[in-house]
Amino acid sequence: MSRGVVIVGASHAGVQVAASLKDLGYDQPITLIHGELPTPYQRPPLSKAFLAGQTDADGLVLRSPSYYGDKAITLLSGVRVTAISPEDKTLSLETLPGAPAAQNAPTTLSYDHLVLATGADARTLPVPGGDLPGVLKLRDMAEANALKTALAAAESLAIAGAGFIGLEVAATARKLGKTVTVIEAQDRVLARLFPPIMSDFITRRHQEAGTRFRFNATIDQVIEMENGGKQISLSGGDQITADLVVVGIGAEVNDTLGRAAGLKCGNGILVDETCLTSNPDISAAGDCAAWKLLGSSRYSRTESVQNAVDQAKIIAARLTGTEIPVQVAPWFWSDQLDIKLQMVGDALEFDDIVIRGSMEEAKFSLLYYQGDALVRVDSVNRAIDHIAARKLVTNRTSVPKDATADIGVKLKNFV
Amino acid sequence: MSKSTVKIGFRQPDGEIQEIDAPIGQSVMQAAIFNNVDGIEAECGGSCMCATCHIYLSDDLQAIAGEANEEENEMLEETAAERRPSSRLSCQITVVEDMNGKVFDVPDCQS
Repeated sequence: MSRGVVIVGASHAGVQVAASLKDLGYDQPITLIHGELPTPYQRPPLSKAFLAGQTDADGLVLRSPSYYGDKAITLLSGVRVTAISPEDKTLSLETLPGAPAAQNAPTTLSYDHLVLATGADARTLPVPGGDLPGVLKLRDMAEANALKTALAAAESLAIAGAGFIGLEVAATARKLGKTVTVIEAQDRVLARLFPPIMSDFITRRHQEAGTRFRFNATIDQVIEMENGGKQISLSGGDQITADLVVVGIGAEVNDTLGRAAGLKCGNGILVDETCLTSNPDISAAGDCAAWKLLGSSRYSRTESVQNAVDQAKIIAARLTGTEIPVQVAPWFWSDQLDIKLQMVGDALEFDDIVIRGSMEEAKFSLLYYQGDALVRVDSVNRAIDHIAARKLVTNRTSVPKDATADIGVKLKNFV
Repeated sequence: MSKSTVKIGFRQPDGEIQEIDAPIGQSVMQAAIFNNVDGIEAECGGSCMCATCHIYLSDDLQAIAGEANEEENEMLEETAAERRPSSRLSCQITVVEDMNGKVFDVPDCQS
């Protein structure tokens, strides 16, 4: 009897592999292993609408609870994989406390093909006091729930890290009227992702919303005060206090299982352009997988829903012998304050930036050029540019700079 | 969040209609995803960022749902299927009582 496809991890990538396999007519067993409870959910709203109380857990489900049964996908929730045995193609499982007893989850499982979609975990603040209660991270539903509860009781927040998570939490907390200080080791926000012109724009909007920034600063220590608040010592000797510390200093790839199974890994599980690992019976997708982006010779990971979904569709196509979708330029988005930020392309290597629209009115796109080729576009409240930009950047299309600078000329004319 | 629901339908390009119970107050997109309606991708999860939850509204549904805002209109310029005067993004439409018994049309592609 066929053992089918077993998918480890039921976030965006894992669920999409199962759904796409079904859509493409795969008729062998599909088992989806979800290390959490209860139903697989969307993560992007955790730092936004969920934290702000605009939606509850029911509003975040990726598919209805009945979907998996209806599609004959075996969903094992609250089950963790402890080891992979690639030689005999089996997994060892443990059921977490609180998982539905009726589930009768097996302790071992065999596969014909295995998909690892194990994601990444939020990095812990690596200093004394970094693990105190009241020093919180945000990656999964349990962490988001804890943060939401703590936020309701807090008046002030210190946020470690001016990346997307830190800034999204800052924006939400300011909306809720909290005092917010963001502590960033670099001299500007999102320094790894953006040139100074964009960092400065984003910083200004947050400052106008009342968020304070401490740049070129790191946290040396966190101490719990008698009233339960936190005293935070900064490099350079300054101290600040806050009711709550939120840590947004990036993610640690969850490739332990893959490494232990002997898969080639770097920063993540290395996969080819069809998301196959160094083992022909194992694929990997989403935050845990590292592949070569278009036009690049380096392996890298992209932590985004689009990447997770696209890689999942590629795996499902390969496993069903259907035409494999072509790789597109990575795109993702963030929502902060009145800024809807959409980005496509990864290259921070560029010769020139063209500004399209008005930065003063917070309605513009930045177009990044290498020579005449458009290699990346960041849009702020310019959704109209974004979808055309995806195609232009994927194809590294040559577009005249004076034309893209004119918002009267639609980008899609050049697609 | 309200637990009361209305019945709404989604008509696929082949004419088949799937009827679902949609919670009042949720977005039409959320209700569709929750009930596994084919042809609504909603890759961005309802942030008006991806234009893959495109649907067509009948005249009476347009009257109930109101007008698209500027941002949604911009995204609608970029939908994969033909844009019509009745085009909307389902993530930007809230389910209300008056939608009971109405049917939305799903386009032939989203991306």
